[in-house]
Amino acid sequence: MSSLSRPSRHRGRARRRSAVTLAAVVAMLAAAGCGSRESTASIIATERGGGTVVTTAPATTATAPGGVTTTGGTTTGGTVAGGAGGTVTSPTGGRAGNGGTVGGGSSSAPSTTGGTQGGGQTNAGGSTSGSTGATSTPCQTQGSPIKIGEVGAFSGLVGASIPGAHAALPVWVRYINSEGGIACHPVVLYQDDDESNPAISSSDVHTLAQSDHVAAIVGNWVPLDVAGFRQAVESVKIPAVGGDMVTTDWNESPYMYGVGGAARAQFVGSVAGLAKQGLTRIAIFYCIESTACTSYNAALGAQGGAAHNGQKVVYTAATSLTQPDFTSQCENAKKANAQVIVAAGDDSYVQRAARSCAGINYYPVMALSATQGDFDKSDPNMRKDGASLGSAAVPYVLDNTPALQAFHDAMKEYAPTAPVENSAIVTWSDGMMFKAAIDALGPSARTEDITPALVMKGLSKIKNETLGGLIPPTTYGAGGGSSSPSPEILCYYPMLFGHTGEFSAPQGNKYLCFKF
Amino acid sequence: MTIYLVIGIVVGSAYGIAAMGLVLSYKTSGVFNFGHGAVAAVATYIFYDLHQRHGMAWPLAALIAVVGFGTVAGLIMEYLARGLAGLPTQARVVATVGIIVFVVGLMQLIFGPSSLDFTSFLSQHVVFSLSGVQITTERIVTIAFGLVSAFILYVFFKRTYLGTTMRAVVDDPHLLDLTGVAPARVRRISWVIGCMFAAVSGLLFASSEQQLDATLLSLLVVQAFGAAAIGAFTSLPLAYAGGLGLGVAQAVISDVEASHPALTGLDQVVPFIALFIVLIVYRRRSLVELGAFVRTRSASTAQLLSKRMLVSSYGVVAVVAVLIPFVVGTKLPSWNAGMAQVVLFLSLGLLVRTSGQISLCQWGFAAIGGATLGHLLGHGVPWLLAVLIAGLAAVPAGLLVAIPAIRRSGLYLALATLGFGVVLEEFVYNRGFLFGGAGGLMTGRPHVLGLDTDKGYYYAMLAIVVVCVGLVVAVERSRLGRLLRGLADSPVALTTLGANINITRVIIFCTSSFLAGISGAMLASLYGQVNQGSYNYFSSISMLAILFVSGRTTVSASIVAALVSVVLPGYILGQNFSEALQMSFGLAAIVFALMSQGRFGTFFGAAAARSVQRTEGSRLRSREPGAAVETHPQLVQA
Repeated sequence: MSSLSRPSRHRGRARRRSAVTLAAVVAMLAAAGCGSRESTASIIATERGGGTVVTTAPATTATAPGGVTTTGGTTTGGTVAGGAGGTVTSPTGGRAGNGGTVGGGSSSAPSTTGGTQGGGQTNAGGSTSGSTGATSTPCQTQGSPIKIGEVGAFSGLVGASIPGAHAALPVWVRYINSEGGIACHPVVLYQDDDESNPAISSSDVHTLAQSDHVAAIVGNWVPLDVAGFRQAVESVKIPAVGGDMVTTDWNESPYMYGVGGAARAQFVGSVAGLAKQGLTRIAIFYCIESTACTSYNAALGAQGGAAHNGQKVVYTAATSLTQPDFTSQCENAKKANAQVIVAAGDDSYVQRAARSCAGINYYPVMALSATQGDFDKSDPNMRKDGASLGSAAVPYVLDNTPALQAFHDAMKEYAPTAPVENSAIVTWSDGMMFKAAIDALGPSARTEDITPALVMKGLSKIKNETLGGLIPPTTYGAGGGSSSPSPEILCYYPMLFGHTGEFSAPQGNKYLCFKF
Repeated sequence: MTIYLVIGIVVGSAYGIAAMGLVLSYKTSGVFNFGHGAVAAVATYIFYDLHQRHGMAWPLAALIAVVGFGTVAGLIMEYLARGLAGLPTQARVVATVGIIVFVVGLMQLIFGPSSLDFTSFLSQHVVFSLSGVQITTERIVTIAFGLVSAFILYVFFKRTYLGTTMRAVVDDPHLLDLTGVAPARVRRISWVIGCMFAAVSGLLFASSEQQLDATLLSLLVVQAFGAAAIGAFTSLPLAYAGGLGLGVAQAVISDVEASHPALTGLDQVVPFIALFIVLIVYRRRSLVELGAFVRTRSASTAQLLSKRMLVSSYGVVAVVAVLIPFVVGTKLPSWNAGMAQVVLFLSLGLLVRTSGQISLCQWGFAAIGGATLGHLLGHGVPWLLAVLIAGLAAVPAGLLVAIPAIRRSGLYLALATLGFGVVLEEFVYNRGFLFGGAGGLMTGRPHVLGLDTDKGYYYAMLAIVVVCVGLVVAVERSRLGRLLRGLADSPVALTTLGANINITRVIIFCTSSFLAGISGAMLASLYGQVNQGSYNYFSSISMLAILFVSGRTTVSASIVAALVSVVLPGYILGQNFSEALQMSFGLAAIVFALMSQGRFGTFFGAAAARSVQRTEGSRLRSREPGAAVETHPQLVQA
């Protein structure tokens, strides 16, 4: 080297720099293509279906909330490796989901699922179709696993108010697999937390569709980042079956299949029942930070939801989620003789509004959508006010039908510490709708690999489906076109929060519908 | 009306207490603590942990949180403020903004990202009613604490020796030193008292909110900025009175809104409107920026790389940028979001890096651009033209912000832009002419040449980024760029040269808002719809910290900032990564601010000198015992 002239040395250094730069670029590009999929998805290991089958579950790892790592098991000849009877731990608000050990499913023939399930107390207009055929006879062979995904804001402010959404789908997967799977296919679940970030939501959907090859994305709670989610499912053309149901996207996108009552139904339903009690004067406090709040206000006010019930919006206040005190707004509502206050905000927002109103001896009934029902039930002001709620699915407090009993039993068995609340029953219903779609495909579903196209084909066969009384009758059109396959279902289940601090279902399993 | 007066006083008292703590530390240290709310948040978390989680009696828990933590926080803040002394306002703002970002990340890391239920620790017993308003023990305590402390502090500053020294330490610490009073001790005491006030306001806010959330609490205290402004950031009684006045104004306006629905939401932004107005209408001598003796040093044009290396680097970046869609697979949405934000960081970099101005409302400009795009596309305007018009639509907002920029600079400009951003988000976003009020606006991508796909849209944005980078580089290399750097160094000197600095300021704010509007339009088209939740003003605060730590030059810093803050979180989604990343940005912003103005060089130069000295000394000692050790003065000087 010492014999090299100066320019040569410089050229040598320049070449080395270039080589290092090139290596760095290559490394960066390689890293950019990798990602950290295993750390982001929690995967519920394949559980066996019925019959004598040989199935190898995906060799993936899943991280349980407690940091326990489980491995997808191998199912051979009716016995299941990897342990039995795993439980789903309540999520801690973090990204890690519910890792599952392989359940100890029996090798007996699977029970008929998706069939007629009670529904005796559903009201007129609702029918339980109970798709049959696909699983009405024992499985002779087990099909390939059906992979599904779930995307949601399971951490942060949204995650805190929907703890059941994160727990319920893994529970549903275990339940379904213990029952023999869907059409002789075991189910594998990938869960992704998108942190309410539309870019991450979009990435998650792309990864699920293009890398994990899921057949559908089920139970999606994306109220604040639905834009990224919707754009992605439309881009990769994959069906999204059910979710938060608080944005209009569920009735607009050709790839989003709403499950349960629409957002407007929940909003209008929250006050409708009060009209019969003579509570016709409504004040609306809505947060300005979220479209879910502004949509609530619009549904009752500008879109005539309150007027439809014979009620009148006498006062409207745009407020902030960070507002510590609502006494001025309460005073205005009181002066306007409002009997009901719609509090469109998060849980603590609702409690603060109630407390501020109590501060001027004003105790109106609070009206909320059922997704807001995670407030502190011991709050004395909330108890004194009472609350009226509109739910997209049957009230979770009931257990008087086989479908509801199955939900409660599964939650007790697989996730005994998880909260059983509104988002749990809605998510469970999403899973059941997915199952109904596969069942609707008929016997051919047993032998075919379940693809997004097949799922949409199955969904298009859904007619007046109530899932055994879990949701109002639902009929889907053909998805994937230019219009939504999911008509806006203006039906809701009324719920009440009473002075005893308990939720109740004043109409039982009955849902109520209306038209604008 | 009486009832609104009562309501207003109750609410305003909490603002007043927070404002007094803020003014106290500012008037004695010259450092305006944007992180005042963050101090309040930490104290409240400590109280929560001791009282609610571990069952400690609330008086003891409050004592530990207020006195114990207040003292520790005061000492830390005094140390930090000492480090910031002599630094330009820009560095001070970044450091204290960094405190917010750091604390929010840290608290979320420890206590989780969700808000916690906070039980009111003061009695809710109704003592009496006034005009129908129940006056509880909690409300009496809040009002009484505010009134008594305002009176005591007033007397303290006017009548006591320590109070006089606290005022003197800002005017001339050296003179104070000559009288035998240590300025550092005086500052330390004032910081401790200020942090104790922050802690008290945190407990009171959390108690009335019934929830504990680091972000909300940090930003809630921002409402106290308006009260502090009324007291010209120096008068404690006026700051408290300002808090009460704002509380009453909010209550009264709320009453007016009931009969004028078009004004709904106005009461929420009263503190920020007050802040903005005060900064515009107060006379210059009434609002003297304390401690602003040093002008910022504009970014050096000296390059670390040779011209050839620079061209090669840009070439490599260009090649990588072109290849990205083919190698990142399903992560492309994160890269698209990052690409859209490069221009936003460029717009801030042009202000901060080149001209030494400060803006905490860039996301507000972007929101105007995004909403404009939505409206225009709805009317059939071609996409590219709509993006251009979206950029232009943000320019009037830039003009509006340029008004306080002409009258104020440094700290007060930062406060004015913060207030402007909050007013935009909390009052204007929701209007029909912006995001439409309910479900937001539908947008779209260009429907030519496959640009509506993720890959196609990536390249469309890349082309726009290249053009914007070209624009920024052209500005920086033009006469305007030299004027801007001159503006950063010494506006007075620039004026003596015959340059009109007001026009220069207007031009730079308009250019910056134009770029931010373009970025907002690019963001709006990412997902096919846009609404008020897409442009959060807290992002304006954190992006300043991120940009500050991302590099030396406007262009490279903007690219790096977008990569680390937008693209990276799309890859590393481990538990708590987001919080850890945010905490790192905050901490880095504090460190970078402290080490700015060439202190990095001094620090590492001195360290290198010590290292060399040790090595040489060791070598010499081993070879020639007893030989003298040579020092390297040139390194020490470096």
